[in-house]
Amino acid sequence: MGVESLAKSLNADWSSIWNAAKESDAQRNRLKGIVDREKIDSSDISVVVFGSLARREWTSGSDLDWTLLIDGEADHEHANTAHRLRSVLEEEKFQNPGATETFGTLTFSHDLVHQIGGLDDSNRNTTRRLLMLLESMPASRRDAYGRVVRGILRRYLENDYRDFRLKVPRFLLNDFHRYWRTICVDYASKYRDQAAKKWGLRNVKLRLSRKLIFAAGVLSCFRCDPGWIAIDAPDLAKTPDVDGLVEYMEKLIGQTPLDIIASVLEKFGDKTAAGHIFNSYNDFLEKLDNPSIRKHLEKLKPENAKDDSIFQEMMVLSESFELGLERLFFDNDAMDLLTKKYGVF
Amino acid sequence: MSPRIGFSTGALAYSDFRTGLRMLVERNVPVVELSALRDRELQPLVESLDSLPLSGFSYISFHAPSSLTHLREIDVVTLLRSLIPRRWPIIVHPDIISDFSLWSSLGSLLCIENMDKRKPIGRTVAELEPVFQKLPEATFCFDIGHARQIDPTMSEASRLLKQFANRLQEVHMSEVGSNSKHEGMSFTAVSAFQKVSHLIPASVPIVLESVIPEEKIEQEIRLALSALHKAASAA
Repeated sequence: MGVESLAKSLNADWSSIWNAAKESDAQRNRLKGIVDREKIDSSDISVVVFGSLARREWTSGSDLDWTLLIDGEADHEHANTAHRLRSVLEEEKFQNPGATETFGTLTFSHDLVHQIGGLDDSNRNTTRRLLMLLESMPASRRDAYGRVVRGILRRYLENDYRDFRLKVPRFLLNDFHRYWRTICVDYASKYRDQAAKKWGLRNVKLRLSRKLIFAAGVLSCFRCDPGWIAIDAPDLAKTPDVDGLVEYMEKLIGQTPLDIIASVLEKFGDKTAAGHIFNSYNDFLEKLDNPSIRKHLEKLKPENAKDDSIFQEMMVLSESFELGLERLFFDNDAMDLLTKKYGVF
Repeated sequence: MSPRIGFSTGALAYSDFRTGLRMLVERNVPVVELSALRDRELQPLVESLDSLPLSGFSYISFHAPSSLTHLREIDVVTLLRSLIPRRWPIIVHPDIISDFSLWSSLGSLLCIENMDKRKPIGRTVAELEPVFQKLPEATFCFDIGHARQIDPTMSEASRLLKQFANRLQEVHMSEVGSNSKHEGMSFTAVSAFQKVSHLIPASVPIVLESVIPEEKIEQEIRLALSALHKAASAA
């Protein structure tokens, strides 16, 4: 189950999605080679990538969002290792992450696992934690990465005053919702702080790739519904426990967001929704892979957007994408119930 | 003087010391530590020594079992005493010693190793000093990976090397993560080791305990040279 299988069932050719996936695998292999050659990771350190590379949506202008994830004893040498990695990646012509310093530096496991909510859960910490679940993968060694992902999931899945039972994990779902709304609010904040720099590209990404990971996160939570687990993981349904649910979720979120959505669409056989979502996303990736379109969107001023044909084409794609998601979440009985029960209140 | 660098057979091939030796002999590696980390491996290894291809090594040491489950302490020491004529340093974890008088019979061949965080004793200068007081002739095997795990600032490593400089017999080198497993060295570990490498005389043999596949032996030796601040050239 996944995008390829969905495409086969619909006889669709989403060539830009395939190209992006193929290029992502090539870039990841290149990155793995660098990390291995430079001996950057260990059992306590993983190089974790986020963004388009983790989603297998690498296009020609993609930058590399990475962090040096530390799950071990504090060691002042870690900073030097991050400097070393940054410098090698520059030499190897990988494009640096954005200016917020959320990526391209150190991340410590303790904050990700312990600081969920509360005053110390900064915007940056929330972003790093949720992206670990929504779009991340280790560049090479996964020891530290796997432990941290499981640690985060366990925090969300066993935090309840009642005995453990299978259910849609509201704690995690609420944090996915919170993160999505944070992205939307930060979009407005960046618009103001950065004087609308790269506004067009940011706007389009918000409507498509950012929304995609939110939808995949919500679906992953819905798939913890006992009725769903009874079909997908009968052993877990028979003897439910938190370890089993962590393992189940780890496998789920280990897929790309597109695969998560495709597998649900396949399950419900909604060809119209699948067409809306994947045709538009395929076209979005095709356009993003075109350097002149990407550059055009980066330079586009908000006041010119209304009459800009490229931006308007992207709006049409984003509306089709949105329509597909609405069909998926509201226009079939099983999903509609879950969306009503958990989606808003 | 170029540092002499080699491997523990246990790191390369666990209890299969013949395979570990074969890997080193094929590469003309000058240093080997014969490893019998599990006590049931001790007797077979001791009984095989005359048949092993050891003539090409300029430095050989012997790692005693790290825990006793099948043999009594006296049985282990008796087997180790049979090694005395070979004059090989015998590396011993201090936490397996109960009867110090038994072990003192190994004299200056007894080489005490500093421990990782799992062990209740032998991790620091303060914990090793009483051991050496009871075993005054014993030498010191400095495990730099263990020392870094105990204190990533390398301050304790520096203290160990200074305090026991006149006992220093051999160095164990590898990455030791928070899970206490020995593995191939990372950039972070190499950078940390470089901080105390000036305290390790070039004459002291380096035994790598990195658990790595055979094809990475040369690479690991180059990393060790780099950790020692020496020009990168494989042994």
